[in-house]
Amino acid sequence: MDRTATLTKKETSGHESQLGLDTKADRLTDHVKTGVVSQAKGSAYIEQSNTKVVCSVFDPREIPRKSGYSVNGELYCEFKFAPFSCIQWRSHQPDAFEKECSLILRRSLEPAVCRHEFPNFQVDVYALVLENDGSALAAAITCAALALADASVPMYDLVVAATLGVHGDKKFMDPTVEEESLCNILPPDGRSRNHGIITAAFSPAHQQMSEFAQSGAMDIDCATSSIQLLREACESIYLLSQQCLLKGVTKMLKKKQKEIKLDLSSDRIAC
Amino acid sequence: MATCYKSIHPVKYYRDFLAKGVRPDGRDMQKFRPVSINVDSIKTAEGSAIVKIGNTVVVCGIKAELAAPKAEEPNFGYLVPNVELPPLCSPRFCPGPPSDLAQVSSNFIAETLTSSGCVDLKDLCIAPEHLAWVLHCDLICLDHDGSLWDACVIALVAALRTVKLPHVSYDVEAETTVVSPEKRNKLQVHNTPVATTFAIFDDEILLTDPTNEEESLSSGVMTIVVQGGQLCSVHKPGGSPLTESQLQECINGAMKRAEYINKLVNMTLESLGT
Amino acid sequence: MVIREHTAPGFNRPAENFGNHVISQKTMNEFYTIIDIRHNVTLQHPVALLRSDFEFCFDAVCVQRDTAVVTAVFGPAEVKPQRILIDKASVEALYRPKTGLPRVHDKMRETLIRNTCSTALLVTLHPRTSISIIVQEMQDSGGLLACAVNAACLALINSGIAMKFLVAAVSCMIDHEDNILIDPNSKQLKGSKASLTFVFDSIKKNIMACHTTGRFTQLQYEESLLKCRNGSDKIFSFYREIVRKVHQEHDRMSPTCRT
Repeated sequence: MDRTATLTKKETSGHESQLGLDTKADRLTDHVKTGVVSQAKGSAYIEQSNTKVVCSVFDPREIPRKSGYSVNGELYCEFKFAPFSCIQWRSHQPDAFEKECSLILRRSLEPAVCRHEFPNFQVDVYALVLENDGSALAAAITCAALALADASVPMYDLVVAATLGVHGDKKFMDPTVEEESLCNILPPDGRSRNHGIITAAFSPAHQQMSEFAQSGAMDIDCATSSIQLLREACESIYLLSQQCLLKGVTKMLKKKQKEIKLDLSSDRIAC
Repeated sequence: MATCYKSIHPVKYYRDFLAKGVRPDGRDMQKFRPVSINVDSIKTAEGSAIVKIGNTVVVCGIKAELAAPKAEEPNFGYLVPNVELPPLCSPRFCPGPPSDLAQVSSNFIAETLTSSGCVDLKDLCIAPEHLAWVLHCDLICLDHDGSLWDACVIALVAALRTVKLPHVSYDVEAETTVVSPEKRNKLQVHNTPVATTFAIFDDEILLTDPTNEEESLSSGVMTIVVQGGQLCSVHKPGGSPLTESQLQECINGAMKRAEYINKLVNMTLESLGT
Repeated sequence: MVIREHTAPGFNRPAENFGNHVISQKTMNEFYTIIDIRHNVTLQHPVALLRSDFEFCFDAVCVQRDTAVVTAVFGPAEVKPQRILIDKASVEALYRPKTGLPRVHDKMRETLIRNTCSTALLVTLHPRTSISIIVQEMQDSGGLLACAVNAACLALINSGIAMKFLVAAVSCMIDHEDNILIDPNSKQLKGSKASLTFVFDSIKKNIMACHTTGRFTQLQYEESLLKCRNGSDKIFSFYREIVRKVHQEHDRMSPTCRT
């Protein structure tokens, strides 16, 4: 295919007038759900405005191509955009950006997982972005943590992540795709030269940050002040994740109760 | 107790149920699982559909690109279907190159598209020999619990019927392309093929719409694609032999289901239009 | 032309019975059988040449009209740990096209051949082993899938692995005037509305496998099924003839090979 045309590209220069820092409440509600993939041990689905990510986790299995014993288990993470999820069609082969995101995903989840509980084994985490409207990686991290919890993988805490876009002296919380592409370019002369996207993953119960990924160029003050903003955003997502997990556990317990009742009755019929 | 018995001797567990004329999930042998269709939920794609048959979930996204037509077929555009079975949908798929099942599924979907003629490739041509549409139809399975091909075909057709292509004008002398994303034309879809899968258990019993477990325990699987009262494809890749009467039963079942699915798809698309 | 000793199917030969034989062109021709049925429903018979090289490799060349395919069967042999099945043999099929790398269409053929053969073979007799069927396309002039399945069956007969029944594949097409033609060539297929390939078993003549392209009515499907079923009788009788001829050749040659 020698000629391609992007069809739904909107002009980004017109965004200069938008003031950043919309709070979480201004944006469309987020939806989170666990237990969406029946074939997986644990799974979760998240919708943050238009960004849709599904993640599934499987039982620990032997690490392929490994000899020797390791005291800690490993997490194998894969992050993938669906071919139709972005404005331009994406190939099925994982490209460099997806591979980097897979690494960031692993680094954010590893501190929260009790890896000593499954020595010499590997837990597979697969995240698939169905629609990308900005901050897909942060959504994937939150989703993956929920899927791990749903899969009963022992964890220290739920990980939540948020994205902040910086362009000049404007900051965009949870930027959309247009805002992300704006933040990747240098602001025009006359303003500060800060620009970039920061994805940070937090473990709120321990008040610790498990991952800080920054692209672009910015002052140290800008970067450090963003941490506060990101932390506040994560607190609200954390509440949502907790509620979702609680709902999932309650549903599972009810189902187990029903099964026990049926099992008992079937035993009586059998004998 | 029942779960122990199921994991030690799954075939006998199934046989005990089938002897009573019912399957472990409560259906009888000819009953289909409930189908739900959701269209146009993915805004980055030109057309999209999500289909759920029981636990099986397939997402279809259609992206359009522009390219030059093939030299030997200058009036035809491209329709590129691809089925992806990512490791997230089932523990039996590993990351890496497409598995055998994914490749066979892609081939099946491509053949079904050409056999049924639901999209005329001439409609995708903008300027013969110079410019044509390429529709990348990507079907991703999010949960594989049997009847994969049924869900794929429904998702593909539903997604195709929601595709709106922007108006493109091509100036042959100047070799310039002008794309107007605001003016959109709906893609012409001429008909709706519907696939139905059957499994043969123990060489005798026919199970309609098998789950993943049933497919793995059965001795043969067959898929029939029906379109407008005609058969588009009868695909039985080996497995236990079938008698004529069993085949007849399957075809009748497939025809009935096609009517139901057609109604469902029409209803979903109408609700989208309003 | 130097061809090694032919084996009668059903016998596992020990390695000592190998010998070099020169078989003249005349004897080669005796293997070719072309049986014409009614001229409007002609089924050009597969022409087969059976050959066995190594103890575990048996092959067949099958020529159906102008379509030619070479098949080899390896096994029962050692199996890779990831493919091991504890209660039966792991059957594997590989299809190689004439040119280029195998594509998705070839994967479909592999799946069909593998499933058909694993149902036809008594796989439970050889647990923890592997049986590989390799099909190499030589020339495609229509009816390739049917030719490949028939060649695979012949190679399996030659290999001596126990089978429950034999399989025969017949291809047919429906043209725009709704006529049904058995075993079409590629020129006839160009003007077809639909093409169908059926595989039958030898005992009850039930449908083992089926693959279709194009659109057709249920009635046309049943009609083609009946016609193909009648055609499959000829293929099964051809298999019997081939086995008989190979036995004859073997008996004729055995005194010389002992030297």
